[in-house]
Amino acid sequence: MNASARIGDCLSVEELARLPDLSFQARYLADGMLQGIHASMQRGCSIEFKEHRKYTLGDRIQDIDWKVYARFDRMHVRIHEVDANLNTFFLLDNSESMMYRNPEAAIAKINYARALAAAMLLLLYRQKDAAALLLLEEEISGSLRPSASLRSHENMLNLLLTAGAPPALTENNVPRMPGRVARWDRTEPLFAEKIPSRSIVVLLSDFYLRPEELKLLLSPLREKQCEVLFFHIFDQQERDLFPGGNTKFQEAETGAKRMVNVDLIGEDYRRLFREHMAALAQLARSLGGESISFCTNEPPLSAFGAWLKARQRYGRRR
Amino acid sequence: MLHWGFPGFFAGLLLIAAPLLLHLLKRRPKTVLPFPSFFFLNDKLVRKQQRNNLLKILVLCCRIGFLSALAAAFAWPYFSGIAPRPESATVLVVDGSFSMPERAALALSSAELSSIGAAHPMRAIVAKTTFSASPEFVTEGSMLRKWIAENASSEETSKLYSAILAADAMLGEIPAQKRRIVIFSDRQKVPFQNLPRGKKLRFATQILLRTPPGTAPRGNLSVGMVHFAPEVLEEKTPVEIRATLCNFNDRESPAEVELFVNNRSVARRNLTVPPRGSVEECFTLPPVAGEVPFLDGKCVIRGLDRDNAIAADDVFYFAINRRSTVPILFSGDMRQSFLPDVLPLQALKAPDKADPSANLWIVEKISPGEAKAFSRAAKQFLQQGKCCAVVWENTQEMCDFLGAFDFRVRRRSTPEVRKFEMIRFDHRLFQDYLKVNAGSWFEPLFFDVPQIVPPHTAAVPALFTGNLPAVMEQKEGSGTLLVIAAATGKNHSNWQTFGNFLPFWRALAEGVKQSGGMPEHLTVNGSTVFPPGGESIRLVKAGNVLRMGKQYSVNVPAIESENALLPETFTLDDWIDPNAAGRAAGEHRSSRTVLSAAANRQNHWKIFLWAALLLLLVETALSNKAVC
Repeated sequence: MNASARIGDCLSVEELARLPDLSFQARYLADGMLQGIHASMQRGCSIEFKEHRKYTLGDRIQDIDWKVYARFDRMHVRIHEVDANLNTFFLLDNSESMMYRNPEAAIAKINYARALAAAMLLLLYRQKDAAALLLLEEEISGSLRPSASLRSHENMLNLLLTAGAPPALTENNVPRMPGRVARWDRTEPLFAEKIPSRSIVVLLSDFYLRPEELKLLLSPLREKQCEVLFFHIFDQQERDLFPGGNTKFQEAETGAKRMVNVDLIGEDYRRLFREHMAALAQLARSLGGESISFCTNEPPLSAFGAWLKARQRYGRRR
Repeated sequence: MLHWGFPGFFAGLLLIAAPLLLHLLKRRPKTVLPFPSFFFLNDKLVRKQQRNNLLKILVLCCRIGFLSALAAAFAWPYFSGIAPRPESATVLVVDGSFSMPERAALALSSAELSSIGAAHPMRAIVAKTTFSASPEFVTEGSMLRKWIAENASSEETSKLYSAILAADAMLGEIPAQKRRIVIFSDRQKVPFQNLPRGKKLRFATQILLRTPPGTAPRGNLSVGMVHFAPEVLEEKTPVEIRATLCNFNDRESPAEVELFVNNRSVARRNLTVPPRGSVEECFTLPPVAGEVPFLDGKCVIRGLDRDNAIAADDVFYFAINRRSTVPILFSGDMRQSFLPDVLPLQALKAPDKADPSANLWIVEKISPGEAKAFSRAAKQFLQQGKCCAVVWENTQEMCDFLGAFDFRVRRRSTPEVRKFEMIRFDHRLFQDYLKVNAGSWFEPLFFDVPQIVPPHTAAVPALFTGNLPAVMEQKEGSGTLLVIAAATGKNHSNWQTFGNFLPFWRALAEGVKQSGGMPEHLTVNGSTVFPPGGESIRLVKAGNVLRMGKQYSVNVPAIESENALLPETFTLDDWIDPNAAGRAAGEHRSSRTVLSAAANRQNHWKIFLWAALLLLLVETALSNKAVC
C-alpha cells in the first residue's frame, strides 16, 4: 500500500470541508498526510544531523542508522537540518474566480488552496524551514521576509484566514462588480527583485492567464535557480463544463454575462482546458519545477501526496 | 397578383406560435449561473455559438415558413392580374360567324384592346353557334389578342344574343365602376332589332356595337321555306314545289335555283331576287311511276352577281312524300313536334288500336292516366318483333311508361349547368345520322338533361357528358325499344334542324320496315352537294361553309336567317339598366362571388406545397447541424 493511497483513504474533501478552522485543517493534513513520507525538500552537503526518529513505513532505507540498530535492535532514521538559506514563498491567488464552487462541490477553490497552503506552512514550520505567504489580488499583500518563527507562522495563518473573504457588497447588498482581480503584472518586481536565489516559489492559483505571460513574469526565477511549483486548483465544473443546453453564465471577476450552449461548445472548452494544463506543466518544467493539478472534488492531498512521494524517491530535480 | 380562394385557412398560421414559443423557451435559461472566468470561452467558441444561434433562427424561419406555406396551399392560391377594384372592365364579344371577316375581327379587337390600356381587366367571347369565352379576366391585351386569334375563325352562324347575356354575367364578377360590353359584328343577320327592347343587361353600364372599318355589311341569298303539294304523292301525280327565296343584299341579286330529289338534279332556274325582299318560285316535278318512295328534297340557291364579292348560297332540305306504304304510328302532338313534317305519321290516339301493319311506333307524349295502357300496348307491339321509339318527355306518365320496362328516372332537378355539354355517339346509326358534330351545338341550358337509368340489359349507344344516357336500346322479345332522351319539340335548337334529322328517322323507319328491327349499320345518302368548280362538300353540320369563294348556308336557325342587316344607327343603349353600377359593386363583395372567381382559376396549391416540402428539407438539414 503506497502512501498516496493511504492518504486518499483517510481524508476526503468532505472531511476537510467539515474541519472547524484553518489551523486544525493544517494539522490534520500535515499529520495525516505527511507522516512517514515527509522529508526535507533540500538535501545535500550543507545538511547537518539533528536527531533520530523512530522508523516508520515509508522512510528511506538509506536514512536508517544501522549503528543504532546494531546497538539497540531498533530501527531509527537520521533526521537532518537544512541550512537557514532555504526559503519558501507561497503566492496564493485571492481573486474572485478562486471563490467559485459549483453547487455539487463540497469546497470552494480558495478554501481548498488555503488548506493546502496552511498544511505546507505547518510542515515547513515543524521542519524549521523559513516560509513567507503572499496574497495576490489587485495588490500583493503579506510579508516578503521568510521566517521560521512561531509568530510569523501564526501571522501567515491569520493572513490565510483573510483570503476568501466574501466580495464587497453594493448599497443594494449585491456583490460589487467587478470583483477582486488577480493582477499578475504586479508580481513582476516580486519575482525579479525580492525573491532571493535558490528559493522555492509555490503558486496556488486557477491560472486564468496565458502561459506566455506567466513565463515572462517567472523567467527571473529561472536565473535565480529557484524552484517553481504550480498548484493548479480548479473546480470540476471548470474542467468538465457540465452539459446543460443553453446556459447563461456570469463571470465572477467582471460580472459579464454570456449565454452559451454547453452541449455545443463543451468539447472545445474541455480541449482548451486540457491544452492549458499541458502548457502550464510545460512552463513549470521549463522553469525547473512542476505543475500539480488539484480538482476540488478529488481527495485533497492524493495528488499532492503522490507528488511528494515522487520527490522523495527521485530527489530534487536540479 | 396573388389571391386566395379560402383565406380562412390562414387561421392555421396560429400554429406558428408553437415553434416560436419553443424557440423562446429553449433560448431563455431560467437562472444565471456564476462561472469563474470566461478565459476559455474565447472568440472562437463565441463565434461558434453565434453561428449556432444563426442556424437556430434559420430553423425557426423554416418552421414558420413551412407552416405558412402549408396554410397557403390550403387557402386556394390563384394568380390574377386584376386589381381588387379596377376602374373599368370590358368584355369583348366577337361575332364569330362566317360573314364576319376574321382579319377584320382581329384588327378591331386589337385596336380596342390597345385603347383600353393596361390595368383594366378584359375578357372576350367569340360567339358562334355556341359561344366560347376566354378563361378569365386579364389585364394583358396581348394574351387576349392571342386567344381571340385562336378562336375567332368559324364556319358557323353566331348567337350573339346568348353571348351578350353571358358577357353581362361575367361583368358581374368584377367590382369595376365602368363595365362595358363591346360587340364586334358586321351587323349581318343580327337579330337584335326583332328582340323586345328593355333593360336586358344587369351589370353592364355601357354596350357598344362596332363594325370593322372598311368592310361594308353584306347580305346573302337564302332559301326561306319550301312547300310542296300534295303532301302524299300518288302514282302519276305531279308534284308542285314552292320555294321562298330571300335576298338580304341592298340591291337586287341574280340567282340560280336548283332543285334536287334524292340527290339528283331535277330542275334549275335563273331568276332575280329583289333587294331586301323575297320571291316565291314554283317547280313542278313529273309524276313518278310505280310505288312512290320517300324522297329527299333539296333546294339550292346560288348568287350569280359577280360584282358581289360574296355571292351567298343557301341549301334547304325537305321531305317529299311523307306517306309510307307501311304506316308509322305516332303518339304525340302533331303541331309541336317536327316529326310530322318529315315522316308520314299516323296518329295513334288509342294505344290498343294500333295498326298491325305498322313496324315503328314513335311515342312522344302520353296522355294523363294512360301510362299503363301505353306500356301494355307497347309490350304487345314489341313482342311482334317491331320497334318502339320513345322520345323522352319529362312527365310522370312518361316515367310510369318507362318504369314498365325497368327504366328508372331520377326526378330531382338537374344541377344547373353553366357550360355546354357535349354528346357522345357510339352507335353508327347516330354517328351517321345525328352527326357527331351536332354535339358541339347541343345546349342543355335549353332543356333539362333527363337522368334516365336504364336496366342493366339495355345498351346505351349515346351518352351526354357525365355519362347520362342519351339513347338507350332495350330488347323486348324480338322487338327493340329505343328511348331517346331528347325532346323533338321545335324549341330545342339541335333537333329542329330537321334537315339533318330527317335521314335518321327515314333510315330508322326504312330499316324497321325491311328487317323488322333497327338496322345495325346505315349509310347516309343525300347530304353531299356539288358546287360549281368540282369540289364536293359533305354537309354534315349546320352553319355556313365557304368553298371557292362562295358561302353555303346549311339549315341556319330561323332567328338568324330571317333578319336583314342592322342599320348603322342601331344601338343597344336601351338594354342598359341605370341601376347597374350600384348593384354590381355591392354584389361582388360576397364571398360566394370570390369563391366563384377562384373556382374558375387555376389553384396554385402545388407551388406552396413544394415550397413547404423544400422548407421542411432545409429545416431538417439545418436542425441536424444546429445544437438546440
